[in-house]
Amino acid sequence: MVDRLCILFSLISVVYIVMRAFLLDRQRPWFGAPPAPVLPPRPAPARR
Amino acid sequence: MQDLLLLVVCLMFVTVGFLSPFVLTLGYVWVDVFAPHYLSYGLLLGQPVAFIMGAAAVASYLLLDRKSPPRFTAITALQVALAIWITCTLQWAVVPGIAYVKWDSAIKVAVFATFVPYAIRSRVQIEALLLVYVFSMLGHILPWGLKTLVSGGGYELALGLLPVNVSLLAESSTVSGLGVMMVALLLWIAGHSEILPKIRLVKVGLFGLMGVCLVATIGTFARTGLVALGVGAATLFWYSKHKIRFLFAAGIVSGAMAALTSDRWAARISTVNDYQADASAMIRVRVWQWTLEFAQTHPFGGGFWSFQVNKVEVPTIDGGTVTLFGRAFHNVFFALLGEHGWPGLFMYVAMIGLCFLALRRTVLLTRDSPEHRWAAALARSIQTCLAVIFACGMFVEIGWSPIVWYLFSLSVCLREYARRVAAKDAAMIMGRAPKPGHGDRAWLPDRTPGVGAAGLGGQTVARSALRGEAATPLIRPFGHP
Repeated sequence: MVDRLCILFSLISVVYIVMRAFLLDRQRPWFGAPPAPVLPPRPAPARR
Repeated sequence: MQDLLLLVVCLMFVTVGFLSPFVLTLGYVWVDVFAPHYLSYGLLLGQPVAFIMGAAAVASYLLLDRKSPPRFTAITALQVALAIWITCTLQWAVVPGIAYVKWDSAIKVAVFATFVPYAIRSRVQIEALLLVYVFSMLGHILPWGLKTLVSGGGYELALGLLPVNVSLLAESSTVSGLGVMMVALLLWIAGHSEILPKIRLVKVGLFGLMGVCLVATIGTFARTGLVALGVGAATLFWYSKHKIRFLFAAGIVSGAMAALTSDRWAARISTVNDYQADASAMIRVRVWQWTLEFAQTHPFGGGFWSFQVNKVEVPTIDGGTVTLFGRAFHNVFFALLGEHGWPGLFMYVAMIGLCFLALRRTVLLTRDSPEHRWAAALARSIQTCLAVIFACGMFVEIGWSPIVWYLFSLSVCLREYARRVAAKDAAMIMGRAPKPGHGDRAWLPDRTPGVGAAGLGGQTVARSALRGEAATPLIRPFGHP
């Protein structure tokens, strides 16, 4: 019982770590063209 | 059910790995450390899981991800040289058949550990590697701790997931050292992890895991555990910034451990003082003496498992002697000397020394920058781990364990990360864009999507500069105080 709980804990932790690392790695791309900087949105031109 | 879960995790690594190749490297590390094929009852039993994961990791790196590689460092050169040298010693092995079996696993460990820094480069990747390494090992160490809490533990009891002799994670002396090593790594995770949620419950859980690891160390009844505790406490104290607070915490932990341990444990540990009357310790001393004599006639070693040909005479309690054959080295350095001779021992010791130096250099490069302090802290944690594991290595043979070699890999990953950061900051100070492929955005601490370090009008601009704050350079320009 203890063994199975420990296996389950380890597996769930590893799956969580891998999925979160995958998402973070995608959010912070390492290579390729540098992403455009986030600039404050331009105000929409006033309609006449 | 257990088989199905293990299979699902394997498939998860492969599937996600095709989208992000570094995940396949994590998959290989998981297979190597957690050993799911030994825990399986049918589906994965005997399947070449490690081969599939390793081949996919290398292929995906070569085809999809071959950018910004690390330098070919002295550590990498020694890893390659050791891989070649153990293949050479196989040619003149004194027990060729069994030497091949050990060589087969050792060469895989050496080759993949050399490859890891090529696939693991950014902060997220380094942390993911560390977390997969730690939580895979915890799967094996936690049962020792939890069963000790229930039963009190005992010497030569197999309290882990695997039967003895299948893996080093089933051997009591090794587990006792790894328990202490886990504490150093979990302390870093509790303080610096970005992958785990930053909530109080997780922090409390991590400290709970540290407690269970320490209980596992005691529950093995291994004298090596006492050495590991001493070395681990001394190294953590050395690196601690709050020494009084550390001493207070160490006092509480020691008190709890003293209350937890039984007379049986004290009796077992007290045999350290009387090693001449202890058969196990005396056999080791005799084997080490034999190894020194063996190295005189075999300066280039006798190949893996050369201890099989030894013959040692050990005194008995009644004053006589008993002759023993084929006793193991029980020491990482004597094992290297007996198996791979003086060249093998020299290369391995040089590799350990260079890892310490690389980690020291990482600390110097990153400690003054708040954004990269995590790297300095991790370098210190890995130094602690290396100190603990090689102190334990004086009594167990762990030289070719993946657990040790991934620490070497992590040292190279961190050193190369610090080098990329320094190159990036040097370019930033000099006001020019860094060369492409030298770290790119690895040094950016912010995980906000869409904010880059480079690329604003051909100038390198840090995120802090985007916010209008002064950047914290890691290296100062010439003439700057």
